[in-house]
Amino acid sequence: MNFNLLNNTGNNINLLILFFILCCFAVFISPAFLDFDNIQNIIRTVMVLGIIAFGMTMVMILGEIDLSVGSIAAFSCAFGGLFVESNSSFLVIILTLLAGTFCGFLNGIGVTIIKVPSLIMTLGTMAIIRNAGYIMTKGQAAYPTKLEIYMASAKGYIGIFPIPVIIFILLSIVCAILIRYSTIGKSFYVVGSNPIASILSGISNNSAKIIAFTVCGLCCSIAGLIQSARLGQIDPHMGIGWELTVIAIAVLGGASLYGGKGSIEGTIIATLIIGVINNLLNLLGMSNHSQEVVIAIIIISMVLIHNFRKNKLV
Amino acid sequence: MNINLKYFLKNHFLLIVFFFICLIGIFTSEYFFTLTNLQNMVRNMAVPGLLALGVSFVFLVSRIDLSVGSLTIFGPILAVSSLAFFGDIFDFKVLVRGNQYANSATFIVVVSLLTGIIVGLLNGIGVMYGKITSFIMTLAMMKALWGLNYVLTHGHAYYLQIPTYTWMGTLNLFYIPFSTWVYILMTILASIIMKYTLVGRRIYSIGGDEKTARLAGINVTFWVIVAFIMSGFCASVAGILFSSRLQTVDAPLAVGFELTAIAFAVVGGVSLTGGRGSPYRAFLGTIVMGALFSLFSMWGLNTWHRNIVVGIIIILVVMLDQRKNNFGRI
Repeated sequence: MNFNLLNNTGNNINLLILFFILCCFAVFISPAFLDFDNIQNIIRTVMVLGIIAFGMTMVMILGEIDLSVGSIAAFSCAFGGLFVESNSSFLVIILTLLAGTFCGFLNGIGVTIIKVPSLIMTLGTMAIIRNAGYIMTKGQAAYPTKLEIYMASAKGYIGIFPIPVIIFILLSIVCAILIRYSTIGKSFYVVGSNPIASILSGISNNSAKIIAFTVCGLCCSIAGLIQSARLGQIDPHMGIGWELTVIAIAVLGGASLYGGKGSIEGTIIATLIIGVINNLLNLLGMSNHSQEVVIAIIIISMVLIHNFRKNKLV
Repeated sequence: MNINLKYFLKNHFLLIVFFFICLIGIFTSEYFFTLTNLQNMVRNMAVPGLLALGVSFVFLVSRIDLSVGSLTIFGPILAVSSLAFFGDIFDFKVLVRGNQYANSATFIVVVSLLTGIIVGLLNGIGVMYGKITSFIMTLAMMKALWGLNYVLTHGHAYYLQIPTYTWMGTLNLFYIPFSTWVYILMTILASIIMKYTLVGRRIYSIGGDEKTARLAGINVTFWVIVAFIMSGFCASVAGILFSSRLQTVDAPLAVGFELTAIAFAVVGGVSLTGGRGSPYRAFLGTIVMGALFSLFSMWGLNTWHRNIVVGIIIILVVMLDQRKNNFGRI
């Protein structure tokens, strides 16, 4: 156990070193990198994906995967957006979170009770949930600009700290405590690394999976809420292609696709790294679409490095 | 005779479903049973059908290929943009006003097919030598190609209105569109390959039990890569037919095709666990789903409803398949 912890920390230290190297590189390339506005921009942009990555990390610790994250974010916000006319931020936010939670719960039910493999289940719900959002809103955006509290979730400040950053930090603390110190969170690792042993030792695999998927859905809706408040519009087209970036963050943060590995701390650092990489590519003048290619290359090389290490150890 | 009928019903149940859907179509819409609609129906089957055919090879070796959707459109885009690039260097005209392509059609076809084969090869190498789970490898490939599509086209569409190319999308032979002929020919060819040649036997044996196949001395690495290459090839053929039909290539065109392809193959009875299924099964799935899609259009349901139905069908079919056997690795 001690060795395991050390190993994990080693990974995080490697990530931190990578992070600082990237930052130095970025400063070297463009002095604009260190601007207060730019740093704030990085954090605000990547925070959204980072929040989803917390949920994804939990799901991946269990050895499952969730491809429907972008769709859940779009759908839950669109559902909340139907009630923009009511002029009550509270109602809209609550409905958004409820919709996200419910979608995550559906994924969990599908994976555990109906026993469809998570890849196929979430691939299916990716299409179902997104298109349900389109039909519900007729493909039109809603504008929450009049809802003050809703908008504050992305644009407000408490002291000098932007509210989304505070949400991110609070959520990371909650998730870290959930994974590290709660019974159910600890059981995630057991279920992920050896499902049969966990059943034999009396852990309910199903409830662990349902909880992980539900939390993932909740994280998606929070992220979607921040994103739509940041843009000032609730767009059902939001979040196309988020799943790959989120998986990239989780994998970079040390989560294994085979389950049983991963930590929230790693995910936080990986979020910052992806943010810096995206920003670096922006500063270099690369388009959004070529960044997609870079993300794909990063994820493949991370998995390759992971496999290489595993082979070396065994 | 009785047993034969039972056997027939069990194996060709989807044919009955197909005729049933057609019957519903005839009764609910006056336009369903017109020549134009039937031609459209079979023409629209060709592209997803080819993708489903390709994906089913990969399913047979119990892997998954999500990159086919982006790959479909990537071939023609790469061909046009690379020729435009060399045209700028060596000073010959490739794109005339308004991104209109005006050069050899053979070049597009050859480059597309090569692209498909190379992307399939890359997928296979990543999965077998890199030991990357197939869905992550192909998901990353899908996103990379999707990004490259935008980068290469700069977000504009390329118009391919040269008669030497567009005839593939518009020509009808004996009232049946050319693309459908290509699809049928490919299916027959694939059936023969899978049934009577070494390739088929090796792929089925790997899908049945990979460990046993490896112990029996079969070069699993090679044959899985072959399956991926076949998938890439089918996707690029689909891409050629698709772009010649639309006379355009544009980056956002083929988004979500992988889901349709998987749905078509899975409905036909190609198992995701590997080893069960055949090109004929993929064909059955294609005609059923194609008829269903045509019916939806007749009823005035749009893509949104259609995608929901596709998602639900994938989950339902896999759920039913799950009852039969335990799921292996994807």
